[in-house]
Amino acid sequence: MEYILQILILIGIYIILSVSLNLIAGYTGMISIAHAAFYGVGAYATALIAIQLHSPFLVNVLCAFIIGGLFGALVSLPSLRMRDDYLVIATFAFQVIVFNILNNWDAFTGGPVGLPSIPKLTLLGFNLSSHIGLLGLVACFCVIVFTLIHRIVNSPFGRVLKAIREDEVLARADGKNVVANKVTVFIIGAGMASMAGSLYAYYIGSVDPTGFTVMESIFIISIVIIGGAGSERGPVLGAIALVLLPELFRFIGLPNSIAANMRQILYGGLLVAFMIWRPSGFLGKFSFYTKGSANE
Amino acid sequence: MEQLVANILYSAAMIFLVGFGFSIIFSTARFFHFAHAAIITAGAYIAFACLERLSLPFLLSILIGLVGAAALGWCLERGLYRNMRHNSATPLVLLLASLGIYIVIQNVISLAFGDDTKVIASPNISPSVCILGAYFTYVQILAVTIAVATFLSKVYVLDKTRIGLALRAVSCSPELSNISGIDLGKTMGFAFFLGSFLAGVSGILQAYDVGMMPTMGLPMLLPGVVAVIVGGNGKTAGLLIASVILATVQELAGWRFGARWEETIALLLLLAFLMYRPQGIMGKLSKIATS
Repeated sequence: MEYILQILILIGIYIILSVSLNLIAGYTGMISIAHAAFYGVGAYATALIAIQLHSPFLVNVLCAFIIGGLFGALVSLPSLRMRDDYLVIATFAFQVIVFNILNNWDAFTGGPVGLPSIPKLTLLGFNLSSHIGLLGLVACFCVIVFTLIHRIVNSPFGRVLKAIREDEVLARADGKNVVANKVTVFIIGAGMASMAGSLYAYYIGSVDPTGFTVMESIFIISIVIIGGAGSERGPVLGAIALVLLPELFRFIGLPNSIAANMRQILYGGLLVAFMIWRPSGFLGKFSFYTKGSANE
Repeated sequence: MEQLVANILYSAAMIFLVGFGFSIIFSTARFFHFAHAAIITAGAYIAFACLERLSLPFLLSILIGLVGAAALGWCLERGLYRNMRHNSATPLVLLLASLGIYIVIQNVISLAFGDDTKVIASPNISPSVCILGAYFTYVQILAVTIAVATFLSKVYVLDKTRIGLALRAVSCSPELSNISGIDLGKTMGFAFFLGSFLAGVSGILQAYDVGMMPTMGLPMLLPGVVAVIVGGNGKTAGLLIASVILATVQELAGWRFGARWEETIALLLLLAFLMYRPQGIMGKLSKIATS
């Protein structure tokens, strides 16, 4: 039972991560492999604030959102000058830099060991640090984030984002403030990822850099692509599928040492396969083959 | 001080080798072939497998490792990238696919050989050599020599031979080359073969000097990519200069702040150039716009 709860918590966290990345990559067309950096920044910010100040949970999450948003604004700067594969390189560089800072700045972030013993999570007087409580909280956040994204995507702002994805020059010629929109969407997406990081920090009880590597970023963008970029439900499906599938390996008796590698081979292979045969993913509306969408 | 210069020399040589192999593929195929990192690793591990598992002679193992790496790169082009290109895949899609390939190959190596650090052991134990007050290992001298030799031979191969001409033509304009009668498929295949061969060289040198792990490829590839972008598209002289600059910056930063910050410095340099001078030191802006 505990095991199922943990899987569900992870699925919830990855839903938040993938849906927020989908806003940046799927709807605005800016592929980013920096998302694990925002995830990590949120987790570390929460850990630092919670450990030093013993502040309540909501304050921590809010701070994580703000700090993550700032990092998002930083990453949006390259996106104003580069597109497509060069942007991927820039976000890749950013991701590795953030990871190196988390891993090497011992005095501030605890280095490779990380920060242990985050205070237990209490919300409105309820102790939510048990897995059931945490799952309920994660589920609430999922619903909130999903609804927010739904509202954003179906709003005029969302339409501008899709316009940027389809034809950025035309959007700019039509008078849309592409710069402001790009920065905004990065702030929102990064902030949400940081909130997921917050939840993750409370779930594990400590933070360390190993959960926020480049591979993690690639995993999240794989979820978005495989699930379906540019659709609302695609990333949710992708998150469920890519978190559950490797767990099946455990059931067919693969030892743990092999399971980690097999998990990576699975999503690496799926990424390649989908890029060859179905780049818009399962439910996606955006194929990266041509500027513009596949099905619309 | 002399040791610092020696380190810079060796570092620049390694960066140049990786960067040159990568740039052959990058300028011809026009996408970031991230799986190059996996080829670097594969070259080292194939040599290792021949040496330790099959107990083949030392030089033969190295040779098989090199050819194996080159063949692997060629197979990726022939089997995967070419089909994707025919289906009009954009550079972005190819990049993502090559990321996936890197993950798969790295994990297969991890499964087959384990995650611990291994070395390619030579039959002789070679001590450090002291030149002008700085210490080199035998392998480091070898690396610098190979790098210089590669650079010099580039002038001959790329500028004088027909296949070199084909490579340069395709990197300038694939469509026009095709119309002019250059066999695109063969040229691409050769580009990948040559680039991956150099990747194998880098991997084996690294394994010989420091050791190898399944994840060794990416930290080796990143400075190479930085050097390619900083150096400027298509200019090998620029790549050489950029390798030296990058090695200098890295070693100085490492000496001042600690070796663990070297990668960060390299990537900050990359970001600065991507943002403010994407054509690099010696490149032309118009070449990027054609992609």
